[in-house]
Formats: sequence, structure tokens, C-alpha cells
Amino acid sequence: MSKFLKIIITTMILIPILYMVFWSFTDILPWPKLIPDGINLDVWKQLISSKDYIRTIGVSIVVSMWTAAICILVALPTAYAITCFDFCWKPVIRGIVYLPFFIPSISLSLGLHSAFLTAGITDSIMGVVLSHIVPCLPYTIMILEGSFEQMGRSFSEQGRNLGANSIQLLTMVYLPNMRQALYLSASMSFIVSFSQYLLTFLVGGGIIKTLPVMLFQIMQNGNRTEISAYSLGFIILGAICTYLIRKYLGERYIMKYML
Amino acid sequence: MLQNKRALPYLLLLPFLVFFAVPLIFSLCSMLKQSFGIMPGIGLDELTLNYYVDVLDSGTFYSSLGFSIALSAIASLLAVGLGFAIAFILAEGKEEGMIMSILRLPILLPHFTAAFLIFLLLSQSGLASRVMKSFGLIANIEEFPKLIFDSQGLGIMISYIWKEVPFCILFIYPTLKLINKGLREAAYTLGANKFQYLWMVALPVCKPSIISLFIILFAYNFGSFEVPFILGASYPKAIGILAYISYISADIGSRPYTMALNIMITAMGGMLIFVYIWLIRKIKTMEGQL
Amino acid sequence: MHLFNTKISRRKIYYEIHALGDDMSFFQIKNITKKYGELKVLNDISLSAKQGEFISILGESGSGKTTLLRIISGLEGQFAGEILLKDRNITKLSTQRRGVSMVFQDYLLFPHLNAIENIEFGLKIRGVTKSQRYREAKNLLELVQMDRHENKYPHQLSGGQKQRIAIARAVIVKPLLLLLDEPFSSLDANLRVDMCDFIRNIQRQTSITTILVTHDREEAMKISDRIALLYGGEIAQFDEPVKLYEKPSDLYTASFMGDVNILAEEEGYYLAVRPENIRLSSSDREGCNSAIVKDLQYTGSRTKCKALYEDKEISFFLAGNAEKVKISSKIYIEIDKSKILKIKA
Ligand SMILES: Nc1ncnc2c1ncn2[C@@H]1O[C@H](COP(=O)(O)OP(=O)(O)OP(=O)(O)O)[C@@H](O)[C@H]1O
Ligand SMILES: [Mg+2]
Repeated sequence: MSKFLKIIITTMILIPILYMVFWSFTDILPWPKLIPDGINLDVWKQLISSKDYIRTIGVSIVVSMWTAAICILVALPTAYAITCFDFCWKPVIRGIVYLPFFIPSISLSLGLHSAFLTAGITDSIMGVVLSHIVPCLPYTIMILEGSFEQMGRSFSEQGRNLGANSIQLLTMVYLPNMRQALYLSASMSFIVSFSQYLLTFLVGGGIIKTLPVMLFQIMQNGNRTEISAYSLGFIILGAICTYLIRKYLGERYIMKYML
Repeated sequence: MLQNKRALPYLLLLPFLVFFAVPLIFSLCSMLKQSFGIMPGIGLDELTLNYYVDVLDSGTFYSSLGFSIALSAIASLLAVGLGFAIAFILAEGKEEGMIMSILRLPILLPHFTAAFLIFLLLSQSGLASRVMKSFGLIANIEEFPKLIFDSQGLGIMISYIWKEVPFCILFIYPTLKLINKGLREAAYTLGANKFQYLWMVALPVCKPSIISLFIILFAYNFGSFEVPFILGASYPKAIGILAYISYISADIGSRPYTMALNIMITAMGGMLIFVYIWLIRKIKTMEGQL
Repeated sequence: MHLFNTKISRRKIYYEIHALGDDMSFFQIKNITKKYGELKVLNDISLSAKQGEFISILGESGSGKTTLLRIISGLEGQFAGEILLKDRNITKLSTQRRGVSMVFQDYLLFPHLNAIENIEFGLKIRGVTKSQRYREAKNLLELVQMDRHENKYPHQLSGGQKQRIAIARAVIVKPLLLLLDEPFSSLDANLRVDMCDFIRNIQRQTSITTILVTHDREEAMKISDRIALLYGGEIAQFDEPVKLYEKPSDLYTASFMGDVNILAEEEGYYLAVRPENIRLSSSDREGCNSAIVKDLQYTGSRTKCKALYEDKEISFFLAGNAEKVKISSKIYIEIDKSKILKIKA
């Protein structure tokens, strides 16, 4: 039963993906033909030699790196404050942290764009990075919070007994013990930022072109071969990133925070 | 160093407030303000509920809302249900092999790529129809059912399910695997058969995860924009598309209307927060037990 | 029918109470052999129990105790041998249909059910009506003295409390055979003693034939009618506690069950004596021997004395703190000749 199911699942998942790979090497294939007359490498050649594509990858990586870096720097003190201190606004802060999980992405994107318009920081890399922080940060905080919680308050009490103050405690006791969590949360915010379409498109105003923006454009105008090739390019890049995360971290831990 | 313990947590929260809370709350407030018809930039400065009335009066709003709710509810339900069933059967097996890595593939892809895959496969000129033709099951392209760009949103739904079932499996599987050895044997020695174990132990133990998965997926699917944009019909439109189209329309005067619509979408999501918070607590106590 | 001790006797018990049956073959396992790959975990094990009997399986960690219980309950397949229970051959029967209940080492209460629902589980499986189920579970809850915790969930219960719920849950289905896998291992010392008495009480009242697995010999001796000592996948000896202690069949059994002092070796036999059969003598009377004190270990009610006697190290007990005896001094000891054990080498 379990074996049979595995085969079905594998087929259901692999066939569409392989079919897309197949299409990226196919030029024209009128219905109802199943097999093309020859292999077509034009789109791949075009993709590899395209300066626009390389630039887009560059922009994507820059945007996502900045987002990940700022997210970590912001999330670390936040998670520390939430888990290791008592203060009266805690429930409110916690509520705000997880708000973006529940605001449908369309509203969040439109709302942020109109706010950024008012503030006059659209159409720039900085604007895009700042806007990405909002959907990415909750994941980062969530992961770090879990890590702090795991180490627990006893950790901090012990540290205090040894005479450390709160900042020393963070840098000397906690930080060295949360490499994994830091790495995971950085990659998480990187990935979420990396596949952000609507927000980038709106706040970037079409000037800041990241991979999803480009891919979406191609999806609206291009043919199947182009879309397939560009999608694969995107997937491969994303896969490299997640591979790196998975290599260093536990499975379930990641799963909880992905989608 | 000064040990001002009272101020320290707030100091630590400063970057959070600057980079996250302020933009978020500012954008929510500006949405709210605009939805009440206050946009000094274009000469609107009178507080009014008219735009909400407009939204509620328009027929397209209801058809889109109904469409989106039904679509995301069905898709999420199927994804979670299938996910649980498959995870249960997989957890019966001894070794996992490659399957876990394969399940991770769809999660890697962004939703709009998943939408494109479904398009390649199930559109009228897609792989499925070509295969059917070659087996002589259909004679021409029109005979293949319209699954993409259809008014029932089947294509959208399939694309959600394709991407989200693996997510659910990977989420539930470890729990099932964990309880399988212990609780399953306990249930068996008390006389339970496989189905009773499934129904009276495995399902209830996974219930909190199942419900929270459903909520997460529902919230996502409901407000999603990309997938219906690629696979949706021109009528009915998913609510996300409705908001998007109205937002990018050249007429700035329609902005308050857009924002009223947006606030309503946000409110839908907001309602889910409370359910989620309640659930998280329950999950935590339960996981302590496993 | 048999009378309960006074403490719980007023409670109504729903169980068929069997007198201790004479039929040796109520429960039997014959020639069980189990291998994990190359490793032979159980080798030709045979055991039997009378109806209502309390049997303990005693053995070191890794000696295959859990494996044996899992085989009896049907959770472990692929073994050689036979299992008979109440005139049925249950060797090939599925776990559900054996009439064997098990209390697991880590309790395994259902986390989504509260105490009483956990107890009710087995009856729910059997389609017993809600009110009936509740009544029976409530009775058992009283029996295990947990009536105040009816609505608590497992994570709100202490180890000992979980233990009791687990026992009640296993007992409610009126099993022909109850298996307990190291039920005390995660409890602290005081609670262990309480739970041990407690389990014995419950077993007496319900008269369910019970097999307990433990690595604690005192527990096993206190609680059981008979003990099977498992060693290296085989049963070293299967007998009443007194016999195991006083007539051990081999040196392993003898030393597992308590300290032994080996006095001599002759014709394939060891001559040995238990510490309590060595007495300190005040003078050099007839039948007394001299020994040199090597070490004294004071434990409160008595002092363990290690001494060199005829080039052999022996140990025995002195009452109180044994002020008069000093290390390196010469003492006289008297060995109770009638209590000398003759153990096969
Ligand atoms: N599934 C298995 N695969 C291989 N070897 C196993 C398996 N289960 C148990 N063993 C081996 O069988 C032997 C007996 O194990 P068992 O769990 O029965 O010991 P035990 O007497 O219950 O020990 P403890 O007192 O520590 O619980 C051990 O050496 C163990 O390593
Ligand atoms: Mg064991």
C-alpha cells in the first residue's frame, strides 16, 4: 500500500516538472504531437548570454541579502526581548509580529505600496528591501524565538549568577549557542524575499527587476519554451539556496516555517 | 554599564518598531484612512462610510468573495485531508527512501510556477489532452474538458493542491511517525484495529496540526494573487484579482473604494488570528506529551 | 471468591474473581527463540503461570525482558515457539485478539484524552455504551485512587499518577493476562515502594494473571508468586522467591539474588553462604573461626563487614554501628552450617 502510494506521488510530482524541462528544449509542438522533431537550445543559449538575466539575478540576490541581513539584526533583539524579559506590552508586540501571516498577501502588498508611496521611498532598491522586511521578519522572529525558548530562562539565570549583564548574556551566552537558528532564519528570510512578486513589482515600480518580476513578465508575454526555461533557471537558483539550508539543518524545523 | 532593566526590553524592541511595526501599522492606518474617504492629496477630506457601502452594494464583490472563499476552503480542505491520509499510509511503511526529498520539490517552487506547470499539463493543448488523443480517447482539442481559465476555478484549485499536499504531508508525517510506535501499540493492546487507531488516536492527536494547517493554507489561498492571475477565468474573479485590478486602475478617485475592499479582505484574515492563537497553545501542550 | 484486604474491600469490584487455579497451564510459553539478525536475544524460553498468579521476569538491562513481553503481547513477530493462553494457541493471533493487556515502560497514555477517557478507551473500542463505560472507568479510577484527577490530561499528571491511569486502562478490558514492563523505573525510590504494594493489591483484588518485568530483585521478591530469572537470553531459574534465594541453581542466580560468600569449591560444586548466616562470635568457641576485618560500611541499621577468612574475602552484617569491631583487628565468626548453599559450578 505504502509502496504503491509512493509511486503515485512520485509520478504526480515529477511528471509536471519533467514535462517543463522537456518543454524548455522544445521549439514548437502543435497539438496533438507528443514528441518534437528536434531539440531546441535557443532559449537556453539566450538565457545564459542575456545580460538582462544576469543583472536580474544580481538584483535579486542583492535585495534578498539585504533583506536577510536586516531581518536578522532586527529579529535578534526582538526575539531576545520577547522571550527573556517581562514587559507589559508583550502580548501586543507578539500580535503585531504575527500579523503578516494572517493579512492576505494582496492587502499587505497594496497597503505597503500605498504607504511607501506616501513616504516617497518607492522605485528604489532600498524601498524594495524595506518592504520585503515586513513579510519576512515574522519567520525570522518565530525561528529565533523558538531557539531562545529552547535554551530557556535557566540559561539566563545561570549567566546572571556569574555576573553577566543582559547584553553580555546575549552576546556571550546565547549567540554562540544559536548558530543553527541564526542560519536558518537568515535563509528563511532570504527565500521568502527571493520569491516575492507582487510587493517587488509594486514598490519597485517595474524599475527594480528581480527574478520573480521578470518571470511573471515572461509568463504574460512569452511562449511555453521561454517560460519553462526561465522557470527552471529560477528553480535551480532557489534549490541551491534551500539545499544549503537543508544541508545544515533539521527537516521538520524548516518545514514548519515554509510556504 | 547602566543596568536599566525597565527600559532595556523597549530598547531592544526599537529596531523592530522602526523597521517593522511602523511600516506595517502605518500602511494599515493609511488603508483605513483612505477607505473612509480621507485622501487630502486628491481633495477628499470628509469621513464617510460610502465606499464600504459601495463595495457591499456591488455584485462583483459578492461573487468574488464567494468564489474565493469556496475555492480556498475546498482546496485547503482537500490538501489537508489528502495530506493526512497520505502521511498516514506512508508512516505505515518501514523505510522512507527518496519520497521525502521528492515531496520537498513542490515546496521549492513558487506558487506561480506551480500554476504554470498545471497549465502545461491540463490546458486544452496540454500533456493530458495530447496523451488522451494518442490513445484515441478524444478526437479533437475541444473535447478535452476546460480545466484552465474555467469559471469553477478548477485549475487554480489543482495548482493549490499540487503544491500544498506535500507541505501537509511533510508537516504531519513526523508526528504520525512519532506516535506510531508507542501509541499505536498501546491502542492495539487495548484491542483497537487499524481503523480504530486511525480514527480514535492518530486523527485526534493530529487534529491541532490539521486545523492549524487548514487555517494557514486558507489564509494564503484566500488572499493569493498570482495563481488566479495566471489560471483564472475573467469571471468570476478571485478577490485578490479584484483588489489588484481596482488598485492599478488609472482612476485615482477609485482608491478609497479599493482600500475599503482591501480592509474587508484584511478583516477576513484577522478573524483567523484568534483561532490560530488558541490553537498554538493547544499544540504546544500536546507536543510536550509526545 | 476471595476476600480483599480491609482497605479497599468496601469497593465494588466488577471482576470475576478466580481463586488461584491449580491448573499450571493457564498460560504457557514453549521454547521461544528470538533473533535479531545474528543476535539471539531469547533462547528456548519456556514459562508457565497458573490462573491469578503473579510472575516476575527479572534480569539485567538488555537481557531480553521487553522483547519477551512484546512477543507475548503479539507486538513482535518472527520468532520460534508457542504461546498458549487459556486453552488457546495464541501464537499467531493478532495483538487485538489475544486478551493480553500491557502497561508500557513509558505509560503511553493518549495525550488527547483525559484520565478517565484514557481508561475508557478499551471499552470504547469494544462498543460499550457511554454510561456503562463511564461507570466502569469511574470504579477503576477509585480503585487506583485517582478519583480526584478524573479530568486531568496526561501532561498534568505526575509519573506515579500516569502509572496508575495506565494500569487502570489496561485492567478495564478484563484481560486474561496483564503485562507490566518495568512500571516503576521512572519513579523515585519512595514512590516505587508504594506503587509496588499498590500493584500487588490491585492484582490480588482483580486476580488477573500478571507478568511483571523488572531489574530490581527486591521488588520482584516482594511482589511475586514466582520469579523467572533471565540471563543471556535464557531462563537461569524459574521458581518461588524463597527458592531462588535459598536454593539457587547456579552461581549467577545466587549472586544476582543477593551477596554470597564462596567458602570452598569441591567436585564441581561451590559451597557458599549468605551474609546473614554468618554471625560474629564473642570468643574463640568451638565451631568458630578467626578472620581479619578489611572494611566496614555503616548503613544505619547495620554495618556491612568485609573480612578475610581463610584467604577468601567474605562479607556479613553487624548490628548497629559495631563499635567494638575495628579495621585490621582479628574477629571470630560463626557460620551456620545448615544454611550452606551447594551451587553447581
Ligand atoms: N528492534 C531491534 N533490533 C535489533 N536488536 C534489538 C531490537 N530490540 C531489542 N534489541 C536487542 O535485544 C536485546 C534485548 O532487548 P530488550 O529491550 O528486550 O532488553 P530489556 O531486558 O528490556 O532491557 P532494559 O532493562 O534495558 O529495558 C538488546 O541487546 C537489544 O539491543
Ligand atoms: Mg525493557
